Amino acid sequence: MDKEKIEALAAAHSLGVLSEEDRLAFEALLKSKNPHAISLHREMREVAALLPLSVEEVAPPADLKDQILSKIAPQITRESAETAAPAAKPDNELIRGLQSGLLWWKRLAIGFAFAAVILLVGSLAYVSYLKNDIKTLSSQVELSGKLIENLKVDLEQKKQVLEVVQAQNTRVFAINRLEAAPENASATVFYAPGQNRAIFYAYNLTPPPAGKDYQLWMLRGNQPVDAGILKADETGRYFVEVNTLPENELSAFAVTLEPKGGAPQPTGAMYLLGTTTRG
Amino acid sequence: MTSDAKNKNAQNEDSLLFERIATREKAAFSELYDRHSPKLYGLAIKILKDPSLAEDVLQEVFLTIWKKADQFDRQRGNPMAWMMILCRNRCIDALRRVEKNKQRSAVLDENTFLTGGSDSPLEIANHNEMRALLQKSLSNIPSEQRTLIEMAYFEGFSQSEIAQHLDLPLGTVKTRIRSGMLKLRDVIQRATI
Repeated sequence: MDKEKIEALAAAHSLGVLSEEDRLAFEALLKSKNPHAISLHREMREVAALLPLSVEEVAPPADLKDQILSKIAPQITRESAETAAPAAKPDNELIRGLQSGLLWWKRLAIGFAFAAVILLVGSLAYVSYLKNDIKTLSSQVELSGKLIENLKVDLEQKKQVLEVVQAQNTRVFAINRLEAAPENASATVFYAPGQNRAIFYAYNLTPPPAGKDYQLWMLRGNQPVDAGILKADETGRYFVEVNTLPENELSAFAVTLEPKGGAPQPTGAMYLLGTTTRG
Repeated sequence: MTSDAKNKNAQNEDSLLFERIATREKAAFSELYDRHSPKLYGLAIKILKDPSLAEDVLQEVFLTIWKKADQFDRQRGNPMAWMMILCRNRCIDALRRVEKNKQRSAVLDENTFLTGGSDSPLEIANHNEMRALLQKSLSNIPSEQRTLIEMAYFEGFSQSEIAQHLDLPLGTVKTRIRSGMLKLRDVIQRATI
C-alpha cells in the first residue's frame, strides 16, 4: 500500500470516519506492525485529540454542578482526601449481577417443576424431589462465579430431565437390582416415546472399581445396544440421558460393569435389569 | 519550574483526581468539574448548538467519569483526551437521537485514552496556548479541508456522508481530510518541539 493511501487511512481513522472495509484494512496494517502506519496512527490520533481544544470554553449553568453532585451523593464515601476511606467493601455490582442472573434460573427451575407435577402420573414423589432439589439449588447460590457456572450446568441437566419427564405419554419404569448390586440399589427410567429419549437414574450403586464403568444397555429384542456410560453426580446417583432410542422392539434396560469407557457388547456382571411395556 | 514541567504537573493532577474519584471522593470530583466543565460544555455547545441538550450531555459525561474513574490507567491514560472524546461521542449520540436518522456514523474509540495515549501533546501543552495555536492552525489550512475535518469531528459525519452532503466525489473527501490533518500535524509538531 502506498504512502499516501496509508496517510489517508490514518487521518480518517483518527476522526472515526472510515468505512468498515477501510477500517479493517488499516487495522490489519497496524497489526502487521507496518512502521509507517503505526507512526501515522499515533500522530493523527494526537491531532484529532487536540481538535476539541480549539473550541472556546463556556461556563455551564451554575446549578448543573449541584444536580450532578446530587445524583452521585448515594455513592460518595468521603467528602475529601482528609477523610479516611472506609475498608474495602464487597463488589456490590458483582453481587447484584449474580443475583439478577440467578433469578431467571430460579424462575425457570420453578416453572419446570410445576409443569412436571401436573403432567406426570405415578411419579409425583420423584417430581416433587426434583422441585425441591431445584429450589434448594437455587436458594444455595453463593456469590461466586464458579458456583454459578456449576449450578447452571446442574440446572441444565435438570431441565433436560424435566423435558422428558413432562412430555406427553412419558412412561416410568422401575429397574430391579440383581445379585451383583447392593441390596438397596435400584433404578428408574423416564421414557418419552414421542421424543425417543429416556432419562436413566440409578441409586445406591457402589462406585465401580478402578478401571471400570457402569454401562447402560437397551435391549432391542434380545440384542443389547449401548446406551451410554453412567456418570455419578454429587449425591452419588448415577445418571445417563439416552437420546436415540429405537422406535420399536425396546424390551428392557440393563446395567453391567464393563472396562473403563465401555465395551461394544456386555462382558461383565449385570447389576440392574428391567423390562419395558409398550402400550 | 519550566512551562513544560508546569503543564506536565497539570496532567498529573488530573490523573490524581481520577484516582481519588475512583475512591468515591466528592471533593476530587468537584475539583475536576470546576477545572474542566467549561471546556467540555464549550465543546458540547459547539456540536449541539443547543444549551439544554449540552447540559444533558455534560451531566452524562460527568456521571460517566464518576462511574469509570476506577478504570483509568494512571500510568498510561490521558484524562483530558478521554473526557473530550467522551463528550464528543455523547454529543453525536444526542444529535442522532434528535434527528432520528442513520447518518452521523463517525465513531471515535473512547477507551483509547482511558488506558493509553499518555504521551500525547495534550499532556504537555498549556490549554489556552494550545487553543490559540489550534484556532490559528485551523484558520490557516484551506477552508475546504477545514470544513471536512470539522464535519467529521464536530458533526460526526463519515466520509461517504460528507461526500453526499457536499456533493463531492468520495476520493476528493479522502484527499482533503488527509491533507488537512497532515498540515495540522506539522503545525502542532513545530509548535511543541
